[in-house]
Amino acid sequence: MDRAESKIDQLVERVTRIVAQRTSRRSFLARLGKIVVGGMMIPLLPVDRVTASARAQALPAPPQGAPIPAGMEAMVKHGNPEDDSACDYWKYCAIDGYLCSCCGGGSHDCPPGASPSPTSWVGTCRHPKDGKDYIVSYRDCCGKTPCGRCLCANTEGEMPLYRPQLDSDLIWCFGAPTMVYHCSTAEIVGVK
Amino acid sequence: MFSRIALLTITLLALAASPLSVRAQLAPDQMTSYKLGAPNPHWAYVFDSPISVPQVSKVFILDTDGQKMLGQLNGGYLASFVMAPGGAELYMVGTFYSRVWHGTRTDAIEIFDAHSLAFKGEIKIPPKRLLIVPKDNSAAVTSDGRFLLVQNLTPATSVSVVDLRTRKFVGEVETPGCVQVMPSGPRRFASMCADGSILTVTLDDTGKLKSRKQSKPFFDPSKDPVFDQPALAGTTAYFDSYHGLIYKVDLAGDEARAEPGWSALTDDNRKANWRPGGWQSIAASPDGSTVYLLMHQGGEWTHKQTGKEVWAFATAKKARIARIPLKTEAYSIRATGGPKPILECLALIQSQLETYSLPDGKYLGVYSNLGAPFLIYGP
Repeated sequence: MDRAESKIDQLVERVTRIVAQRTSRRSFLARLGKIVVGGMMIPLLPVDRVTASARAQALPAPPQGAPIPAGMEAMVKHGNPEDDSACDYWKYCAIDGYLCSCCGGGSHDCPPGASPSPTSWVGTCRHPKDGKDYIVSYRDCCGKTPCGRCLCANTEGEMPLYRPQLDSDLIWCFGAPTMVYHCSTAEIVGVK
Repeated sequence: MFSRIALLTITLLALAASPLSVRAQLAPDQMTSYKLGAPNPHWAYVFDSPISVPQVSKVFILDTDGQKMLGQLNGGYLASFVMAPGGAELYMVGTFYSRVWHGTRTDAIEIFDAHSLAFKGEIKIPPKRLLIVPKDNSAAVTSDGRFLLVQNLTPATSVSVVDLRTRKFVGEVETPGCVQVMPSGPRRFASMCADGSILTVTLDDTGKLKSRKQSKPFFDPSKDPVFDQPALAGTTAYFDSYHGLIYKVDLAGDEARAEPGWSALTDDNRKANWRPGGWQSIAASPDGSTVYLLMHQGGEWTHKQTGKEVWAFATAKKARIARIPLKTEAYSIRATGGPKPILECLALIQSQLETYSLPDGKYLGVYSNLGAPFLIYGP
């Protein structure tokens, strides 16, 4: 467990450092790091226990023959690992929400006027071509109402709320100007 | 032209003068607002979190017997719905931005009369409540109805305690590493912790912290996590795990006591990839004698897949007693009490509620147009 905790500390530190380099909200992150690492008993991350793949679960599927609800076209579309507006895009193995790439942003960029959250939960996805497992930071874009397009509910390595840093249902806008969720991105943080 | 107008005038005058038209005249309407009668066990309180505009939450109140909509409550951004024991009041714990999607954040408990559904007032709380796709046990009221408990997550975890008698925020109880509020007595609640244990918090009569005790872990979250929306039967919680174990945990004492888990699956079930999943994936009869699992066939990490069957288990025998195929795959389930218990199944995408009789699983009917129904509660 000590070894696992040490690995986790390293990973959290790494994610925090990389995210901090890309944001001005360092004081919040310092506080967050202290809370998360010091107070919340960081559990095993998916890198320690998940043989991740780019396999995606698009849920819940509309019944066969039923019209696809507006904005959910991507949910039932599978098979293009190059298309970052599809739920099965490799980086999205554990994404949960509206894809920013369908909302005026990119796979790791916010749409105009929305703010990247300095905080995130993390997952591990395997690249289908180089076979490497990448640590992916799922950062929400905040400050506008939900985009409503390309809803994906992928659940690789996703954990219940008592493991909040692995829970995708939380509004991950901590430290952003508002806690109003707009869309979801997937940012490569490093190789496992 | 003249003759046509004259003819019409004569006809209208004749009609107006006829005794028949006087008898058929309707009385003027008197406009009122309905009130609800006493709830029966087949009423359903369905929580709708509009997916693309979650700034206004809704609860639909339905009579599933009469297939009738009875009324609606509103709440703020990703609100939590709480029913008071005894049924006099209903609460929506919500978050509000002064300009709807930006501005100053206010968190408040909105109070409604349970019979008129009229708004009665609000109690402000610190603006740090848990914001999440609506989950059960994000807020709760103590069993005597005195204190309302609201989960905070900033992401540091604590619980705001509100005295419903004085209508005042009392203070916060820190719950490091533990989240959610499962009420387990007049002055007690339980939270789930990151290491697979349960934290029991006991309050004094003013709502301040009296004691805090953490149980031993009863499952290993890194191997087989339990879902975070257990079914509560009184002060007993039933948890289901990603791999199909059922755990019974007694929350009544100052330290939670868990019984060893048992599997809902046979080897054949496992081979066929059956496992529980969905949103509210477990339900219990009010007396805890039966638990119901929402089941699907899928691989690892399919814990949010909709279920095509509900399996019923006798908790005393730890044995399956029924298998109910669902007409429409469900995301959340609830079992009612009363002399004729029913199973209520929410289908999120189809925006509907389907009901089945218990224990035989006979399909009873469907209620449609319920927005994005995530959660279901009952009186």
